[in-house]
Amino acid sequence: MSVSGQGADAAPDAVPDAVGGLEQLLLDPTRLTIVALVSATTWCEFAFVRDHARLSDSALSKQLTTLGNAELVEIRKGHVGKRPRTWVRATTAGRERLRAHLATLQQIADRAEHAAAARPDADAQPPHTG
Amino acid sequence: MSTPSPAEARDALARVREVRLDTAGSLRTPWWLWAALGAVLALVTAAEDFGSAVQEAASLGLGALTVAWAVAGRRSPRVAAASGALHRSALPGYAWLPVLLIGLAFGTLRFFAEPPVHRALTGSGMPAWIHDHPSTTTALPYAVLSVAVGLLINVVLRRMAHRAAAR
Repeated sequence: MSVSGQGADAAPDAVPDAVGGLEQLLLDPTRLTIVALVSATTWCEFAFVRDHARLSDSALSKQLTTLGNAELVEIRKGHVGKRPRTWVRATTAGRERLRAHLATLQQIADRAEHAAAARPDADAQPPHTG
Repeated sequence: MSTPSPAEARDALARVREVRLDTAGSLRTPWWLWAALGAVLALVTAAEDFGSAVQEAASLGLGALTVAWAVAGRRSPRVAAASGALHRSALPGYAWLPVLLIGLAFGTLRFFAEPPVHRALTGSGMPAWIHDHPSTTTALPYAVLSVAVGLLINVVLRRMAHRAAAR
């Protein structure tokens, strides 16, 4: 059984935002879906992720390589009988980074909600700052 | 890095919640698996009325079915998907716990209830067929009760998974 996706070559854009805890990689909806999915399980099979994320094999493979390089997920390749299988799980650091990312998103949403509540007569659209 | 707008943040949070609930929902064990388990339990119990050879054959059949299910789950993606084997949930042993508890409930029920029930069914005043086949007569209620326990455990585990997913 070989293990991959745990390389030290983390993508430079995967460094968490020091201010908000946002992950650049997870701002992409597809990657966010994949990490949220695998973080809800201990291990899940490639086919399970592919079907639930509604991706092709090649698209998922590419995304998993990116997420693996950023050490958000761990990829394990093995065999069941003679058939090759790929298993994915969120790393401990990946779960923490997802949690921080979601907390920051929640803060952004809450802040906007509070601002709207404080100005009930104001337009729902944020003011144009340009 | 671009900061998402509040609408984008809300969309992303909703997406994560949906994905987690979907994953928790896929823990579902199909109803027919429980029905099949009930039928097999009933057949194994009823086999007692037909001699030890039939009972041994039924037990062997049950063992073979269990092994076949485990092997099929690893070989066939469809069976694996039906049994939830394509992922292992954050809830440990979600699939085996109900089966184990069903077995325990079934064994406990038989241990305590069978002697008096058997005496009553083989006593005088019972129709001849029931008198001759007490195990077959009790098989169905035993199986129904055991499967009901399994379904209840399944529902509880799914709710736990949903609660964890919604956090």
